[in-house]
Amino acid sequence: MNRLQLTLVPDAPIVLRDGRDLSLFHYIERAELPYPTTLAGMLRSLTYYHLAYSKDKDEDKIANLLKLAVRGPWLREKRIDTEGVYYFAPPSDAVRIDDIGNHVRLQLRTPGNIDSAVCGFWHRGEALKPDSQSSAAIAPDLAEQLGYYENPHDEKVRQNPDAEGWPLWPLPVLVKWLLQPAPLSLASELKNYTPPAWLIRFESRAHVALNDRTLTAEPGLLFATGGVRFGENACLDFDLLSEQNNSLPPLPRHVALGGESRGGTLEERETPLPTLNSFIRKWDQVKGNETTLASWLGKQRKINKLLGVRLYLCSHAQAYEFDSVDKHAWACPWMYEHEGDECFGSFPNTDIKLTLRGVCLPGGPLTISGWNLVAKGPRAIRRLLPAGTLFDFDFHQQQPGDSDLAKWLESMWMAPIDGGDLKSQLDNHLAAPSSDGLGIVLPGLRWQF
Amino acid sequence: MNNNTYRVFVTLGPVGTFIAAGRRSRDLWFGSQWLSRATERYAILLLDKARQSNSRFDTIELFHPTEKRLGTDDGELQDMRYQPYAAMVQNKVIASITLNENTVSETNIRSLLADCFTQLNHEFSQLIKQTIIDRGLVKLKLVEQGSFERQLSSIADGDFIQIYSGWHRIGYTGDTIDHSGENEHNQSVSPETAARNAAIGLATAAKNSRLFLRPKFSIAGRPKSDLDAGRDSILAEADNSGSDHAKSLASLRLRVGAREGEQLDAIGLARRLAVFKRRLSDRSDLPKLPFPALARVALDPYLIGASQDKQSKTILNGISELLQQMHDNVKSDSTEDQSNTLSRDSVFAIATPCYDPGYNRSGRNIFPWDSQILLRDGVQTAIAEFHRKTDEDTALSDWKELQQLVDKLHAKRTVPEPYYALIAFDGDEIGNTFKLLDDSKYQRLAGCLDKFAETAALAFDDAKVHGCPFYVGGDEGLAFVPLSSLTHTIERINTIFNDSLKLWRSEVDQQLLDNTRFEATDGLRSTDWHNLKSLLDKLSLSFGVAVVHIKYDLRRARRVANRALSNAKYRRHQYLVQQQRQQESFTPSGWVEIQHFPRGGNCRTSSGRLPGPADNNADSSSVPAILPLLSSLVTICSYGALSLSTAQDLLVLTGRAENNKDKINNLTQIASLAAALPWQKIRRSQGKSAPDVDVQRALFEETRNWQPNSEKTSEESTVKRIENFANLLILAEQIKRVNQQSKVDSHQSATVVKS
Repeated sequence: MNRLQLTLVPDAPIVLRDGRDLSLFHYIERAELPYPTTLAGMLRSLTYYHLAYSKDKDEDKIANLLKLAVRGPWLREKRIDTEGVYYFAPPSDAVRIDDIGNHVRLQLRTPGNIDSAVCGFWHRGEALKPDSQSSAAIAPDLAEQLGYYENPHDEKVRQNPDAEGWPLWPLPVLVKWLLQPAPLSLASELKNYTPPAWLIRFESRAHVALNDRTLTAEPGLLFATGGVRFGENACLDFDLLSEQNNSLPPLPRHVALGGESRGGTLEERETPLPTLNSFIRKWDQVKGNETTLASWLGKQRKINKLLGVRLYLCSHAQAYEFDSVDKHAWACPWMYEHEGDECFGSFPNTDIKLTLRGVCLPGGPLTISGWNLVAKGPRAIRRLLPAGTLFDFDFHQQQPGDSDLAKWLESMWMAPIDGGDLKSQLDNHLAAPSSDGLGIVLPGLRWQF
Repeated sequence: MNNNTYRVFVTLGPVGTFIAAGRRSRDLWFGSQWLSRATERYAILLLDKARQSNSRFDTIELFHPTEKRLGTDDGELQDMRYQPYAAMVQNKVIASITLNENTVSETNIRSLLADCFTQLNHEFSQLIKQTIIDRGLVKLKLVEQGSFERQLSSIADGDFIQIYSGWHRIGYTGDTIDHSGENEHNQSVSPETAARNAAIGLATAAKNSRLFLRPKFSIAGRPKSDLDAGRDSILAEADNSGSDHAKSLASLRLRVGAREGEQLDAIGLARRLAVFKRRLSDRSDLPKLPFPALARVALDPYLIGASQDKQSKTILNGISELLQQMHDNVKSDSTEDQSNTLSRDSVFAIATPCYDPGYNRSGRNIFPWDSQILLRDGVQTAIAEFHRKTDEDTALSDWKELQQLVDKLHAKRTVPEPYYALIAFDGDEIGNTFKLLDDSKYQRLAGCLDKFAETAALAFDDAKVHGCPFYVGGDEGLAFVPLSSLTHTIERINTIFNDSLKLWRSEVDQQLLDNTRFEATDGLRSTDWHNLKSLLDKLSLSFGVAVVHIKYDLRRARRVANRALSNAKYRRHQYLVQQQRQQESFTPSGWVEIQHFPRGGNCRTSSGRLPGPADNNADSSSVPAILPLLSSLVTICSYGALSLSTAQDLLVLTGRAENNKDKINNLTQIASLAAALPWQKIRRSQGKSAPDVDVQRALFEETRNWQPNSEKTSEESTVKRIENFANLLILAEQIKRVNQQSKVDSHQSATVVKS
């Protein structure tokens, strides 16, 4: 597999849309990072123009464009002294931001029988008790910073309007949240990092018509667009992957992205994304001894009881086959072999069998469609699990050993949640979800407190 | 009651996404009407199906909504009532269901809920079908049949309505973990209450995982709906050929309230149409909005003023008659001749007939139209918007006449102020109180809140309010009112709330005197009764207000109002904690936060407390009661004693203070300057007309607390309070302008102020 590590530095506010025409009626009011599909589309378009207009036009390479895969974009804060810090969506089993911008604590629950789950009916025995991890792991100081305070009973009283929220989490804190057994003092951890609001901000622009004679605005708004303005030290990292026999195309330095073709600069990046082991080594530095994930796990399991594993989505995910006969769309096919009310399965090419225990999906699915350049029309709607979604699993039978579990965790680090099983839609000119950068996960563990 | 009795809790949705997607007031209004009706219908289905299946279920009793509230309604979901000033049902159903002794499995409850859900989905798809098909929109080819049918089928399959439910057997203690969350009070409540709380906890947890279906209804090539990006538009593609068919489609679009380029899915189109009872093809009279439109409410003070002046009234009647005439001239859908109708139809999009707001509506007929046409550039905007679709110059004649009349009205009475207040309100501590109540007391309190909702909904039609509620149910609501009645509305709703709970409060107080008796009946320990007593003292109503231009996106306005409400609740909570810490005399009260978006300015936020039921010593509080202060400022502004320049000067001062927060002397000096500033301005302006002492009292109470060395005021809060005051003054100035427009001669009023 060829891999090209790149950084996109936005030069202007990026305007992103959701498949609807620009119009007066379009309403956006939140800062969002570009969807991976937007980035993948831009890169494929650039590659297409390079291939189509080069002297030795290669039709095979053009046909293989959909196999060009992206991983990212990941928001990074550039720092002078280090390689910088990545920021990801907050894990949804910790907090969520509701539709009016408040932080709300969540509880996980089991899906029970997957067929009945789509209706939202829960048997008393099926519904999960308030998850010990999510309720206990909110440290009081974080609670205060996120807007919780002394009255947790009144659900409608939620946010301290003066508190600076954290809509994104730095990767080192996120990995601790996902893997470490003890509840974290996250507020003190977060204080070491730049508030995400300094890195990206929402920006809304109204476009009006000008009177040709007077050069004044005509009455009535034409349309409004929402965009994301990046701070000076913010950039987007991503990797471009292609199959071994397909060399990666040269890309221009200046590119246009999003609905209004806002400019950005592409730079090659030397540093790869951090690995799981790099975090483990930082946590557990013993002189003369190289800590491995397996040894760290062994140490932790002697002190704490491991209950299961988690999968955290760091990019939005399409979990279903586009033409499948299944009705539900929130879990991957590998997760739901049936045995009574239990749903279980193994991630492709791994041996550990897992029982799906719960999914924490706040706020409902995202929808995307996109524009089909060949058919010159909008694509059909797809529904996505939002980044930050958490799947929670028990071990189906017996717990794996430290080395097997370490192997599993490493294999899941930045892997696509469908294991690459979901195929591309050639009729619709759609790449496979994993090639579009959808459904990239980070693994986590679930410990008993 | 056997040991097979369960408490069942069901909550219906979608709420936020569905209601929030309302771009026009009719979208929002229908959204809340529908949700209320769907909840009623689900409750009725639950009752009927459980009673029909007596082999499985012994008894069923509804706690919310009560059977009394449901009445003898046997209609289906389609039978919406559309009463503009009626209370609605909150989107939850609470019931007690006893399984038959022979029925061992509680999966019967699940199947009962699922049956009702299936039926509700079917009825909702029928409602959509009926709304669109019966108006002939598929036949007339405005609606693309394939997309429409696919969406209908997905709705019937359960792809739209969301139901989250939980149930819990009374006395069941198999689960060691408290389902109801962190409520420590739950430890000692009666088994019935514990079961109800547990059921609510389960359903709430279920909400955190909104599982979803594959969008089978969507196909490539269809544009997406502007109201819901997750659904395809069902409207026919725009036809720019200029043919008769194209003209007919454009005309139909206008009549259904979809403007050029707007894309609507099946639900979006239905909600826009469903408020109109009359069929579009019935052209003898055009359909009328069953509630006053947003612009009509915002401009109500202006129209009242105009109607009291003889000449203005004549002009206004002329505009009204011309609009009616333009409508009456519209030709039938079926005729091939579509000429000269296009611009007339546009009246329907810009000045839809609607109810006049205000008490005794039947007697009022000031201007029963959506009043956007009266705004500055209102007619030009309409012409620019619609005339480009037709080249027929003759179609302009009506518009030109309309323009002349509107210009004449503006010359006579100035241009109307296009701002209104969107008010969201919600009870404080109500949920926690419910968690402590046994079934009978629960029903009593729910009954009190129903009564509050009924009275409050009607109050918006009051002679002094002239507003309209989108939704009032239980202890919460959302309504829009003209700026002139903002303070009166909040006071009125707050009073109704306190009055509605008065009897219930006194009953519980009385019961507290006889603790032993209630220990026996309710199983509550005395400590829990004291908890309940302390909650009773804290029961209040908080308000979030967005003051915005009528063209401000309604979805965003609703969001602003809700955010203000959330902030108000937080500020209230902080205030209570501070009072408890300082062991001050306890003056619990609701809170108001107003977020004001003046023309060309950033959001100006002001907040303050409301008088609560136990508020006997308001003057001693360190926090101002916001409404008396606002009313005083409006009065002082109307004398010309204070103006926007005072507010700007104060904000400049606070800017200086913020840069020098650590220097207490500097802050003291600034606070003194700020406190003196309004009085200097008032003194300078005092001449023949000046506000009397009573009016100035609230101002005095406010400014004397600005000193940072005051016991009740911290350094930080000094700056905030001055800012709060300045923002309130900016709002008062705007309210003053609206008030002036309701006078007989708005020009004259302005002249008096200048002199």
